[in-house]
Amino acid sequence: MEAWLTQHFVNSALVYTGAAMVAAPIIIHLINRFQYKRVHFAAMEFLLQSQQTNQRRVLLEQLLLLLLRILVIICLLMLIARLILDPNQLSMFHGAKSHHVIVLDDSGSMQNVWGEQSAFDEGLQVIRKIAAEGTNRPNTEKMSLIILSRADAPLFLQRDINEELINELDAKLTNLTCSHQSLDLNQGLEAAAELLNEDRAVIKTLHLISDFRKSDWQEKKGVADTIKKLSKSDTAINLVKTVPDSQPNLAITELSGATEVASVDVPLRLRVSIKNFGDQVAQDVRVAAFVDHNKLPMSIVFDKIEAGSEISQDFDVVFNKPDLHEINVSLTNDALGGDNARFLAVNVKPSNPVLIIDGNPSGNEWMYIQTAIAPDASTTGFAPSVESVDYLRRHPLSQFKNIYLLNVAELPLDAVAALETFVADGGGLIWFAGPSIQPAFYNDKLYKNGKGLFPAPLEVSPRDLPARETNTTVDMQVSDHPLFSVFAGQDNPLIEAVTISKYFPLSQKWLQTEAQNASGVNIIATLRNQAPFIIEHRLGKGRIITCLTTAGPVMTNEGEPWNSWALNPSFIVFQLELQKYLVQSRSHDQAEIVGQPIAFSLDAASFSDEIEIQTPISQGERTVRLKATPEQTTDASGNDSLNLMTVFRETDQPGVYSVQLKRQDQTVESQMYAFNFPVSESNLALASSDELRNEMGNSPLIQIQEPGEFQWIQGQEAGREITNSILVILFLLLICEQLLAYRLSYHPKLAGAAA
Amino acid sequence: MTQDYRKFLLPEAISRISRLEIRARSIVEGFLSGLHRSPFFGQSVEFAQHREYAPGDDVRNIDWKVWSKTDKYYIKQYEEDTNLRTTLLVDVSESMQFGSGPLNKYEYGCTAAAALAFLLLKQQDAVGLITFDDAIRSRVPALSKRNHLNALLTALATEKPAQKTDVFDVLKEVAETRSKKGTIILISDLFVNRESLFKGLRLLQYRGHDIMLLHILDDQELDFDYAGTTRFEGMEETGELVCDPRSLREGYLNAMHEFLNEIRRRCAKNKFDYQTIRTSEYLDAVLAHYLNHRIGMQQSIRQ
Repeated sequence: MEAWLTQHFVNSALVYTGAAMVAAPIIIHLINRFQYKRVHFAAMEFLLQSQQTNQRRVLLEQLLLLLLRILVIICLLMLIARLILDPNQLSMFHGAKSHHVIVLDDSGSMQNVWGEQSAFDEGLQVIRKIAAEGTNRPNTEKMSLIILSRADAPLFLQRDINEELINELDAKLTNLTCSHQSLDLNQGLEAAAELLNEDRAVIKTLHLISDFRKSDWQEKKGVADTIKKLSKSDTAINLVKTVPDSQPNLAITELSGATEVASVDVPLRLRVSIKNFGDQVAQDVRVAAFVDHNKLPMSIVFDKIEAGSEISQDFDVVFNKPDLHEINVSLTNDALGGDNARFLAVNVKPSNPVLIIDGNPSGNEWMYIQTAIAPDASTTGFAPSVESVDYLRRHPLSQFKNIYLLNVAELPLDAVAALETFVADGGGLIWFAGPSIQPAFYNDKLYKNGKGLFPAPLEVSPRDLPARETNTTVDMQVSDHPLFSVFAGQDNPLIEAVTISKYFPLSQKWLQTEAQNASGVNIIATLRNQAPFIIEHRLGKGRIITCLTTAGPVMTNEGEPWNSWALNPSFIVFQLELQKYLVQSRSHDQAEIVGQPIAFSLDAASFSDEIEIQTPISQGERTVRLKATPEQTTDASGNDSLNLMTVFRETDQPGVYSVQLKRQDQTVESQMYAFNFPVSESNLALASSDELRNEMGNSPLIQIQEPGEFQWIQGQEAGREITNSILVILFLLLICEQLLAYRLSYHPKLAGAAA
Repeated sequence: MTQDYRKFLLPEAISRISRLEIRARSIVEGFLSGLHRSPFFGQSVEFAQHREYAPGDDVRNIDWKVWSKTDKYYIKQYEEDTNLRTTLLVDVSESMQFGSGPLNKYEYGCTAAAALAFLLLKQQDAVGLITFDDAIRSRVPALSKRNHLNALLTALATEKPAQKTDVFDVLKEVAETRSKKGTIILISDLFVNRESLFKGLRLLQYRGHDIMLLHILDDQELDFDYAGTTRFEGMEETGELVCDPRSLREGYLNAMHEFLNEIRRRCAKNKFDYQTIRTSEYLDAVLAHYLNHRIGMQQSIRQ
């Protein structure tokens, strides 16, 4: 009985008192019967006559009136004790259980702070309140709690709500922190749907606690669809908002640069971008930059950032010694703390080795390249080494950032294979044509029908570019490619001064038939006669740039140089840009988004299975030790090798993670991985309740609860409080009671009316 | 007729006058002062007609002026000489003791009877009185002497009503004892057996009496305005009932209405003059009704 009462009344203690109150109309009636006045009456004859004829009617009317009054009291009792009924579950009153599945959104945007409150803390408060309310109805309520970042492993699974659970919940929630990741609500909802569908005999309620940002709802239609689907399977859905208003927010959306070519004493240019997600102009925004946690003696100032716009600025950092370095930039605190800092890990080397293979050892083309990219090792950070073709066969190429192939007639096949592996792994390859080139070999072994190191087949012989007739045209016409961004602009005297006399044309047949369909092949510069001049294409992870003329002013048989580019200052700029551009594809230590796992696959022959990872200093600098497991793997060429594999998944905190890998020779190799707050979480614009309803339709099972309101928790647990229905019934009962009482009573005419 | 004089005829005002005689006088004088232009004033001493002298007539009444002109004896006939004989039949049974206002039905009835007696005596008419409940309680012969009023009032005032009304025997006895024709005014609440009442009244009518019924009823009997649980204890051993009077009101009023209709219908059928009078009404209502009745009577005599 007690359980039944607690299940169906919010204030079950009042029910007993209320039940006693039901007797009140009966007692009043009886008291009235015994408390009467005496009247000596003469015309008893008529009174008795009236009583005789009306006895039954009077009795019925009085009983009816008594019944109405008792019903009024019962209705009042139900209102005060707050009866809860789910009309759909009327047949399951006895022993009906209620299963609450709570999905807590702990994505990065839930760190939204206003005043003393944060969206995540509000969410935790809602969970505590739901659980506390559940204890009022012992043995009827079950709870499951899904934290969105760990949707596959619910924090609580179908647990009865009781004191024990409350204590456990309290302990777990106190230690629970909001993740920094961009999470998909749909995953949590699908996990919840699975839980709810496990037991069909219970009253199902889903509470989705989130900040309900526009970007979560309007850009991801799947969420609304899943909710609609759930509501169709008789699940009551509470969408609990935790954030009252959209907050303005500034976010650092980018910190990037050509970190691959970072070397000692060479300034590394980095770009920082700030986006204003608010609806008001942000002024005088200052960004502080840190290298290895030491603040740089400068600050980057953004005078004005319009609402909704993103502005970038560049700054240079110089490293004094070769090592792994951590760079971070930070803003002053605002509504969302996670996106106020951005991290970058830079592996600064003494220099960046570049291999130059000159097909003509007696020639001097290599010299032009070498001079262009490294006039002095400390100036550009590149260390070119000039080797012959045989070097490719005998030495590992992975140590080089980029490889130049200048005027190479033919390559040994094993050298081609080594180069293919080098490029596929992310290396950069630069071809320069020349008189020695054997087009047949190129077309057969290097072009490989679009799958090789060369972008397109060549014609059988080089061709002269007719001399310029006027000074208004230029020999080299560049596109909007990033490589040429330094030459961008109307007036470009450096490029204009370049003269190209001879070049190796691409196969006319290929240009006419296959050029359009060749995917990944991009002609980034053309000659005056519109013939392709510089071509970019990809192979695996790497990029290949092919220039169809010589690297230096090689003389033709007629005594004319192939081109004058190497003598033009633009050549140096182009070569340096080319270096930076090609290494970007090899960005294994560029910054990641938090939550992405770090996968280790180490050669068992070189490394031991111990991996030590240090989490970011800002988050307490914890050291985690992993043990990799050996696995047999087969590489693309069919060679079996034993690799040590493991995955580190606890990358929720933005910052730089340091990894120590132990080699078999007991030396240590260090790596750094920077993890940043996802930009998609920075936009704090909220979806309004109306917008949510538009997305999900007007199903009565879907309720949207406004932030800070907890009334709905009381009484909406096992079913819905039928306050409105009771009020209507009470109103009708009162009207009937009044009408009947009026009918049964005597109302003398008013004095005025009687006169 | 001006309304101002009536303020002295309110039952509330009259109830404060303890002596019935003074009550009667104040009512009648109040009433007459309101009727100062009435053609009925002094009617009883005014000349009515001439009649030829017959032996035995009082010679004082011979109109000598007529004799001197016509040489015939004519006597003057005056109204008072018609010598109206009125018997007031006042019900003093227990049911008449009921009253919700300043005067109960008995008091109102006695006051009305006294006022009528005073008026009649003032007009030189003979007034007799019989009070009754289940039998005749007192009897005062009809006389027109001025000091006869005392006897009438004594008979009214000394009654202690406590008995059940049974009216036929009373009326039969009245009929037997009142041999001379006259007016019989019955003042009662008529809570009696209707058959025996009208049987008795018809008996009186056969004897040549002019019958007038003044039906005195209390406001509560007519309106039944009781509220709240009430224990009604019947007078004259009519039983008792605990009830919510509001629920029975409609039935009661219907029964009362039916009762009054029956009385009215029977009176009309038997040509009895009938009037329902509330105890809250001005006390001259009885007198006014009586005088209206007298006009009708006058006209019938002169035809």
